[in-house]
Amino acid sequence: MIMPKRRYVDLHVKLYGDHDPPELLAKMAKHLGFSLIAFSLDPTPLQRCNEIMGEVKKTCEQLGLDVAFRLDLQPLRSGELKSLLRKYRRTFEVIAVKCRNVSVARVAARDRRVDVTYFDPSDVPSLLDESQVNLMVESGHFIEVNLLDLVYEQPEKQARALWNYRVAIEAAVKKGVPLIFSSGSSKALEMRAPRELSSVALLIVGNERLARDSVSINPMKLIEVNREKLKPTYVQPGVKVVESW
Amino acid sequence: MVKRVRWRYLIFHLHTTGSPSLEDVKKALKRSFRCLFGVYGLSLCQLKVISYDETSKLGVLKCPHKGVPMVRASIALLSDIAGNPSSIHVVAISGTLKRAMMRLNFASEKLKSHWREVEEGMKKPSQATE
Repeated sequence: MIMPKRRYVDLHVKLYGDHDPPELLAKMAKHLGFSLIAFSLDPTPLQRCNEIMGEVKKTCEQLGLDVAFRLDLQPLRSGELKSLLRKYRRTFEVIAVKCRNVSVARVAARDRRVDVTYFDPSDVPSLLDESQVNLMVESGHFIEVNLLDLVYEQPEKQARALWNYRVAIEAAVKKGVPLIFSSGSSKALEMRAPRELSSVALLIVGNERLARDSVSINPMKLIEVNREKLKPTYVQPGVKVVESW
Repeated sequence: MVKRVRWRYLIFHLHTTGSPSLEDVKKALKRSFRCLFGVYGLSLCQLKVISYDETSKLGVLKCPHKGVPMVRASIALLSDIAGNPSSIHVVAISGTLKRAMMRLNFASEKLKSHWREVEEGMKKPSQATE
């Protein structure tokens, strides 16, 4: 039996703050062997954001690279999270929430408009507890780890981050929460090849197949499902408009 | 009888703004590996840089086949070489040195066409959005 070739995805390339031009990042992603990259954008103002999306899409099409857009939300209160979700859900293919406290983490895990949650390495053990994992399993959330959170100058800090992730994420993955491993980069030199990313994911999950899936099948599935949801014919999971009269 | 070691040859491409020497690359690779897996890990995985070309920034790294994921992980967590921000990309892996050298030449030819403009872009200052 011939297995289909794996398509690799980098779901977190930042286009805000101090970043390289999107064209360079796209060329680097193509060189490293990715089939799809998701650019994270700053949504304000929305008009400018839509213009950037159009330009980036055109560049990536020329390179033969599939592109998606995501929004990183970092709210401090659950009310703020809900209003941001109401405002931006239909504009972006992926909505990710960086959980900084328990109340935001619980609301994000319960809300089906949120796709991905990620944590600061120091907060993982306190925020990603059993009840959080159970909520995430019920709502079908993805959990994300960024490579950039593991790159430290001091080995002690690196060891602490790896320990925190391994303890919390191993338990979450065992319960069935799908893992996504991304670079979290904003510069071309911070990007890594998919197999390198999966080797670092292997240090966290300890299973080669799960590590490989975290840079290919899991993020690809998320993008495909969300693209389907953004189509005007979509009604709810399993229901779509086939013909209208 | 001594167990035969199955070696793997990793063809790597260095992405950097500087121009590090062979010694710098060797030091950075070993430092990153020792930092992540310690001296014991280094003893299990005898790393050796077979060749490195400073102009094309392509090289060949030798390690036991069981150590390949460890080497890849340490390479992923390497962020600078000789003070310059850098990253290493494993282009291909081979089981024989002869085949590795063939692939190295092939990669060198392939990179000539498109790598220069990416490298020029990396040297430019990054843009900032509010």
